[in-house]
Parts: sequence; structure tokens; C-alpha cells
Amino acid sequence: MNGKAIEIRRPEDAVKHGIDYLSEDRQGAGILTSFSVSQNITLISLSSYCASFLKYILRKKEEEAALRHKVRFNIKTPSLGVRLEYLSGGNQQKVSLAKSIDPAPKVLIANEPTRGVDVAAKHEIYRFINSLTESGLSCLFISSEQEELIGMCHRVIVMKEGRIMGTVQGGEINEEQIMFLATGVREGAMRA
Amino acid sequence: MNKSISVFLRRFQYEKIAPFIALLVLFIASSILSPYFLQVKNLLNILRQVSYTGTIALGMTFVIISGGIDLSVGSLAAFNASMGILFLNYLMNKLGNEYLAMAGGILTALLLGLLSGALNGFLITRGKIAPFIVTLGSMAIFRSLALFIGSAGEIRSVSGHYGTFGMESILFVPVPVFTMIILTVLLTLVLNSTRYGRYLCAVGSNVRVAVFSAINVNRIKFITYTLCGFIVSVSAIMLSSRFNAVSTSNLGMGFELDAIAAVIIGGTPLAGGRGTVWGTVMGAIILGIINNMLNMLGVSPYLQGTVKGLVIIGAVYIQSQRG
Repeated sequence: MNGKAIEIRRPEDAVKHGIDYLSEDRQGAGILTSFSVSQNITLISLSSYCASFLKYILRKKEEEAALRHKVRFNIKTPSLGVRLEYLSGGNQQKVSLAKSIDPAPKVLIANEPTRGVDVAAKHEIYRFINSLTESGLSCLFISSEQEELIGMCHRVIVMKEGRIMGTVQGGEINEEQIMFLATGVREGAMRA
Repeated sequence: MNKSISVFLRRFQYEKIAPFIALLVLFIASSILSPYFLQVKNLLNILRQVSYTGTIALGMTFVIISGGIDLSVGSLAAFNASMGILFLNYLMNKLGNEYLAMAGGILTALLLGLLSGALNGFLITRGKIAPFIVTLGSMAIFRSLALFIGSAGEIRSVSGHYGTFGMESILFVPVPVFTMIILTVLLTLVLNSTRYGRYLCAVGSNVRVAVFSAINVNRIKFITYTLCGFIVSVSAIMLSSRFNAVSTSNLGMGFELDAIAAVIIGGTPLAGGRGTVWGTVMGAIILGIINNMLNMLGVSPYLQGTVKGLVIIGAVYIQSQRG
């Protein structure tokens, strides 16, 4: 990280070093369905909303931050106090994304960020990640859909069964290259 | 969208108000059934009776919200109060100053409360043993230690004052009831308005999400069991003051059942993740009124356990139906 080696043994260490993770398993490891929208958004960064050694939560500061994310990510919810179980998958995913970037990380590891999300929300999520990277965030985008990767990434590393098969960059990123690395077979060769 | 709002509101309010409605119904039924029920003396007596297990149930609420359980509370109460009185007696002999001895005894009991709770927490987090097993073990251990140091009999305090402060009243409210009220207010603030309270609910809702949200789950659990041990000691001091002694074979017997029952009747799901402190107080009072009414109606005390058991099973059944 920034040219220095860092040791990460627990998620706390990663967050401390500015690395956040957006899980592919939204309900199992991403969000708390029984928590409200604002409680979810501030969960990782809760310490920065607390005062004194008693760690008393400053409700107003928390609500303001949640409202900012609600507007920024266009989260459709009747109120910030609604429990997440009553929101759609796309809106849950936006809350999950808001939760991951609320601590203002330098690196975001987004694992299948558009899984189980409707098409409209999918495009919104692409847009958010693009605007985040423009403002200086590095994003490690993990996906099994190649259209996503071609559209989103500056560099694609193809992995198969736990091993890195190869890297494509910039203008070389296209379906054929990725498929070649993933399968080891050229499309033309197949036909011949 | 509108439908989801109304569903949300209905569930939200029902869950929080249910124990209050149950208490109200029970209260009205009791005042019709018995002319003595509404007497101030009787009502204060009910409150005093429920305050001991009610206080313990406050600590149990936090433990259950974290997704765990503490079966050792009754044994911890007996052991910690016994040690407190033994140390009080020792100081009386050494120093002769009664108030100093009392302070020493009380502090010993509170400190042991923290330590014994911390021991449960340590075994659960570091040892990775299920809370049910750890506290089942410590329930047996601490009861046996209490019986051993008291030769299964009574440990009497030599101080006259120790036996009176728990019977005093502050603003007409008996001291143990007053203590329970103060703790209720404090713990409500902790649960709803502090980082620890929020983390506690997160850990109880979904441990994996909590871990991925950079929460130190073990630390939260450890604090919770330690806090529960401390609160148990507060209650144990009140109880031993009431008799100016500890009956090592009787004190705290069945408290775990009463405390868990109060928490569940108060609306905190056994699966954890959420709950209210004042709901637990309602639950404790509901149990107290049921006992009181059974006494007044001349039902055999041996049958009271049956009623309590049915109420617990009924409360959990209703919770599981709601989903």
C-alpha cells in the first residue's frame, strides 16, 4: 500500500489501512436486514460518529451522513429509519455500497457488485463506481460477467481455478482476449 | 412502496408494545379478581419481589441480544454474595469499622461479579465454546464453590447495617427497586445510543456481517458477559442485604429461568439481534403479578412453576409465529 507492505489479519486491519470490501454475499456478509438504512451505512465507520470516551452516537451527524449517501446513490426508501428487509435487492445493494465507501477508503474491493440487481440499478452502480474512481478511489472489481469487466476496467486479470491465467490492459481488453485467457482456446482456432 | 411502509409500521409497533399490552390486561384482570391487589403495599411488594431477578434479567437481556445465553447467573449470585459477606466479616474483625467493612464487602462482591462474568466471556470467546455449555459448567462450579465455603448452610454477616440498607426506601421506592430503575435507564442509553450497543445488536443479528464490518466480535461478547456478571452481583448484594445473610443452597436457585423468562416475555427474541431493556422490566413485572395472583387465589406454590413454564413456552411460540 503506497509502496509499503502492510499486514492484514482481520477486516479491522484492512479498514484501518483504507481498504474496504463489498461482499458478493449481500445478506450473508454485507448488510444487516434488521438494521435501518442509516444504521447500515454507518456501521463500519461508526467510531467517527461517536463522541467522548463513552462512544455516544451523535444521531444528527449520523443522519446527515446517511442522507448524503441516500441522495448520492439514489437509494429509494420511504425513510432512513426503514429496516433493510423492506427494500428491493437493488436498493439493498446501493446501501451496501454506501456502507463500504462511508469510511472513505483508498481501495475498494467490489466482489460481484451487481449480482441479484435489476438492470436500472446495475447501470447506476456502474456509474457510482466510475465516479468514485474519478475522485481518486482504486477499485478492484471482481466479476464473472465479461461485459462488465470490458466496460469498467483499465486492467483485467483473468483467473481460473485459483491461478492467474494472464493480464490484458487498455485497448487490448476485449471479449476474445479474455475468453482466450480463460479457456486457453482462440475462437478462430475452435472453428478451424 | 406504501404497502411496505404499513407493514414496517405494523410490525415495529406491535413488537414493542406487546409486553405493555400484556401487562395492562393482566393488571386489570388482577384488580378485578382480588380486592387487595391494588393496595399500594401489595404493588410495592410485587415490585420489590421482582426487582432481584428483574435486575439480573437486565444483564441477561444484553447477553441474549448478543445471541448467547447465561445459565450461571443464580450460582454467580450465591457465590459472589457469599464472598462479599465473608470479606465483610473479616474486615469487621480486623478493623472494627462497620462502614469500612461494608464498603469492602460490597466492593469485593462487585469485583468478583466482573471477574466471574469475564471468566464466562473468556471461555466463550477465546475457548470458542458454546455459551450454553460454558455457563452450564460455571453454574455447577460456582454453586458448588458457594456450598463449599458455606458448608451448604447460611453465611451470616456480623454487621447490623448491612442487613438494613437493602430494606430502606428512597422517595418511597424500596432500594432494590430504585436500583433496578436506575440500571434500566442507564442500560437503555447504552443499548440505543452508544457504539457498543449498536455493535451488540449487529453481532446478535449476523456475526459474519459484523466481522466484515470491522467489528471486534470477541471484544463485544466479552464485555457483555462481564457486564452481566457485574449486574448479577448488584442484585446479589441487594438480596443478601435483605436477609443479612446468604443461604448458599437457596440463594439464586432458578434465577436463570426467571431472568430468561422476563427477557423473552419482554419481547427480546431468543435468537438475539434486537431487544429492549424496558420490555424486560415489563416481562419481570408480568411474572411477578402472575405469582402474586396465584398466591392470592390460593393456588399451591408448587404449581407456580407450571404456570411460569407455560407462559415462557407461550411467549416463544407467539414470537416464532410472528417470524
